[in-house]
Amino acid sequence: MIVEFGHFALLLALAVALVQMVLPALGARTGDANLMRVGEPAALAQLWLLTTAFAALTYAYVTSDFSVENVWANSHTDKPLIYRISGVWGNHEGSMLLWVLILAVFGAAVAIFGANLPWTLRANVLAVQAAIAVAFLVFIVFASNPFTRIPLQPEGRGLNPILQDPALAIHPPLLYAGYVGLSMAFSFAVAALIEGRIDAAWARWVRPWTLAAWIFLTLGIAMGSWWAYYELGWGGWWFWDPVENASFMPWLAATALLHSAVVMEKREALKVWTILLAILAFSLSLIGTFLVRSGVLTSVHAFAVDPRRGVFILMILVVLIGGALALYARRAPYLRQGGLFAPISREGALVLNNVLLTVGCGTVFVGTLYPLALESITGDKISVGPPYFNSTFAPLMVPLLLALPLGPMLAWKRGDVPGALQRLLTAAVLSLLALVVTAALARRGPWLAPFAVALGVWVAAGAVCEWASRIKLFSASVEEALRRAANLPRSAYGGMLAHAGVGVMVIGIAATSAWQSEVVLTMKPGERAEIAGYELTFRDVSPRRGPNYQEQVGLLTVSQGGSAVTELHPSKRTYDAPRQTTSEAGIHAALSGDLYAVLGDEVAGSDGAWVIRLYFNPLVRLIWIGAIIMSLGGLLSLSDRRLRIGAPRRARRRPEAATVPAE
Amino acid sequence: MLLWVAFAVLTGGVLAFVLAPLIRPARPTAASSGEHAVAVYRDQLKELDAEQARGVLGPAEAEAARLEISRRLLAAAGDATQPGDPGFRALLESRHATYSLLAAVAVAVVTVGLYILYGSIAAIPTDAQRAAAREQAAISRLVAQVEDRLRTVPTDGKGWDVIAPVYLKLGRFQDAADAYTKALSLLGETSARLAGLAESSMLAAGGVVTPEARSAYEKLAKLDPLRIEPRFWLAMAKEQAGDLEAALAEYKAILGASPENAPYRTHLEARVREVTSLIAARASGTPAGPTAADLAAAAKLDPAQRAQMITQMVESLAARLRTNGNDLPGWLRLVRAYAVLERRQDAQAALAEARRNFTGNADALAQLAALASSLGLGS
Repeated sequence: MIVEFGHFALLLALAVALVQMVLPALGARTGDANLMRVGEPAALAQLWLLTTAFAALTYAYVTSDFSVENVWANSHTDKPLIYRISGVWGNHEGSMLLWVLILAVFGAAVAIFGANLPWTLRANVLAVQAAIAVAFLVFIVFASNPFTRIPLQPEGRGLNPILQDPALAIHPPLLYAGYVGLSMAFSFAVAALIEGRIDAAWARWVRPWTLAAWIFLTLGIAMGSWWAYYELGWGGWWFWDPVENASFMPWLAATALLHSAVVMEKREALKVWTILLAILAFSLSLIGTFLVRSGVLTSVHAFAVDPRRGVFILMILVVLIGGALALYARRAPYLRQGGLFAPISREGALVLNNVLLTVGCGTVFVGTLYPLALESITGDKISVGPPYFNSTFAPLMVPLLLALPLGPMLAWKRGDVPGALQRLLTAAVLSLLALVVTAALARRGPWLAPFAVALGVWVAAGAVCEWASRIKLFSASVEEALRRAANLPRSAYGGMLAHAGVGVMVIGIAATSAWQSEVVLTMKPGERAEIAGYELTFRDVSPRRGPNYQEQVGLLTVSQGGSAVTELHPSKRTYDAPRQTTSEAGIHAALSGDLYAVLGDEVAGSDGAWVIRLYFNPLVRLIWIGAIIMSLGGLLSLSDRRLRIGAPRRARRRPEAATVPAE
Repeated sequence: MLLWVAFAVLTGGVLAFVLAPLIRPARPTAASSGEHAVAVYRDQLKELDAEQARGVLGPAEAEAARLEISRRLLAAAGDATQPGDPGFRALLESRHATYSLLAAVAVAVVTVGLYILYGSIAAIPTDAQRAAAREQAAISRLVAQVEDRLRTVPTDGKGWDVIAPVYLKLGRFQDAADAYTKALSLLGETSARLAGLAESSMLAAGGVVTPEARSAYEKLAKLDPLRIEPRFWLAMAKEQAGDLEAALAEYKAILGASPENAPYRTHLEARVREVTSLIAARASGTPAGPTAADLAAAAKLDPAQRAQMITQMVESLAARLRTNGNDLPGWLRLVRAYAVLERRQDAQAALAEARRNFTGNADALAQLAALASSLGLGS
């Protein structure tokens, strides 16, 4: 009953999306206000219908209705309730349903909060959102329907054990909220191109939505990385895996878009470029969805794979991306250009940021898609691994990070570098100090590593310096500084916090990449091993029964300098359905880094000897802490709904020759 | 039916909600985007004043920003145009009813059409199916649990004892037999285990009383002499081994010992009938009569062998009629068979014999006469 009602609601949502795609756009074209107004109730109805459909599918999962093929294929009655619920989106069909549900949430947000938008813009935005919804709903209904029935089965086949993890319950919804959130920027961009005009309110609308999407993406990627770190048992946190890249590319584009939208909102410059970035950012999200969902990649992440569907998603890609870019090519030349600024200015610094981020995104794009293109043309299978990315992407990030603290110190329209550098003197000194100290402490490891750490310190300290100089911490009285600190808009705090987060993350990445230590041993109970100053004693391995798995739990006691520190419990789990083995790392998190132990296999023919892998990952947690700081900064900025205006520095003389067009 | 009502209500509600703006009277077009821009710039100017008041912006910076925004404001004010052609708009508004009707029909057709294609009301499981599936799931879960335990502790006799009857019920006869064997060796002999082992072993062998089953029944009979089923199956074992007389005697003995209303009597009686006729057939050196299996076998023989087989069958029929002459259909068949085999003398002899048997039975004599004339045997 309930499941069929959900199925019907899904089909009705498709029909309503068709209405929402046609009528408001027609109204905007002909100036018919009634037709335009259809967009809002349609967007709300879509949200309601898709929520119903999603709830119905969730109901089928919770009650273990194995007459629904999707539930039968991905669930099991023995599974704990939380994984029965997260199983709804732990598979292809359910995750696509979640995708359109989130799309509907964003569409409804335009309907609810868009009262102050020009009517035609709102109607066109809703029509474009509906077009995206139609494409994906058609895909769901025809090629991956989660409500397909089969004869009732007594028991389900279970969910991939690797996915039975709390992080998985949150990772995909966060990532999808990020991907789909970028559809807002896309819809606004296409709507502006349809109208042939960019409204003053455009950037004011696009920036917060992009920011929200960016926060979700940041948290989603960090969560995925954290999950891979403790679940896959390799001690690594990023593998340049194509599926990771699929989420990283939209993130890079969204970061660029965020910065160019700031310029546009505050200074009405970079309009046409921002429109293009908005299209590109969502296109990369779609490509990410395509890469993960079509099964063109075979990697640790691509669990829900069905190559048949790839062609369908590819068609959606071609129509949406191709259509938007064609529209851009036709209309962009007619858009009114924005304001002017000097190359050395805040705008100029943000352009540099955009250039470096988009080029970085391009290198990741090439590294991710080149092997696919090569394979489809020549049939050769090559893999582009970390060496490629380390030698292309990383060097591009160095100038970006070097310039990062400088940008916010420059004035709008015209800036001066020496002045900005002067205010960053403290950060420079701290960073040099970090260089000397790390170089002295680390007697091994690559020579570049201390420089990378220094770079991270430069970025993080730069953010603090910016704050100090903005509130005149040392140049004015304490009261004056406090007053300024209190009056500084939350958006400014948000930006500084996010930049500090980048610095923290860079320190973590540099330290853990350069100084990770690894030992692989065969240990018998009672034997000892040493790593990074810790002394580990292997005690035993004992069996334990979980709700739907059987596990072998190893016990290692850890001591340092003779005093006991902790116990590690790395384990190997064998799940009941499907019968698969996963490893759970035993991790001890200390300030200096993570002690990480993985239980391997028992050595055959030796009494009680086990293969044990030990890692020490110095400062690895700074990576995720940095990501969280960045997201907090984003949230802080998002909470500030005041208008943003960038006050320009007035020219002392009229430097006509020094100004360049924005685009 | 109820579901279709729910679908109709949902569709109707959604359509009324979505198309409501078309049903309302036509509205004047909202403020043009130029006016919107003017409003945004005015807000920016206000925010600028507020920032200056809070001391975030210096007076010089604020002045520069104010100048820029004012410039944009002037440009936007000149841009306040009305989109759309008023004449065409009036025409459109008169068509709002048509639009909403079209949209409503399209939504209903698309949704219902797709549901008819992809929906599956018929596939909703019934309560009985659900209950059956639940029970099956519960059993397989129990089995999995016990199997899990038995994998780690194979000496757990209780586990084998629990799982064996479940295997038997699930139709996994060989697993059941193995489980009973393990339970027997670990926990000792009880009548339930012996009976279970014998039954599952027999079922695994397709109904043959295996040596394993026989020895179990023998033990069971000793353990529990009042039980019927070991005696029955041991008799069956004799029957299958070809010792028909012993089997028959045992069947009769059981039958004699069992109460009048015992449900298994019909079973025993059937066995007695069958074994009796088998014995009779063996005594006459021929099978009791053509069975379906015999006919199938006949089809595979070459003509000479087939003729021999037919002759054999006819002889066995004649032998039976000699001992029991009261079988009119039997006589009719025998006469016709002789006629077909071109043994006219035998046919006439059989006819005469039959007439003798049925003297005084006008009806039977009339049938025999009719057959004789149809076969041209004379009267």
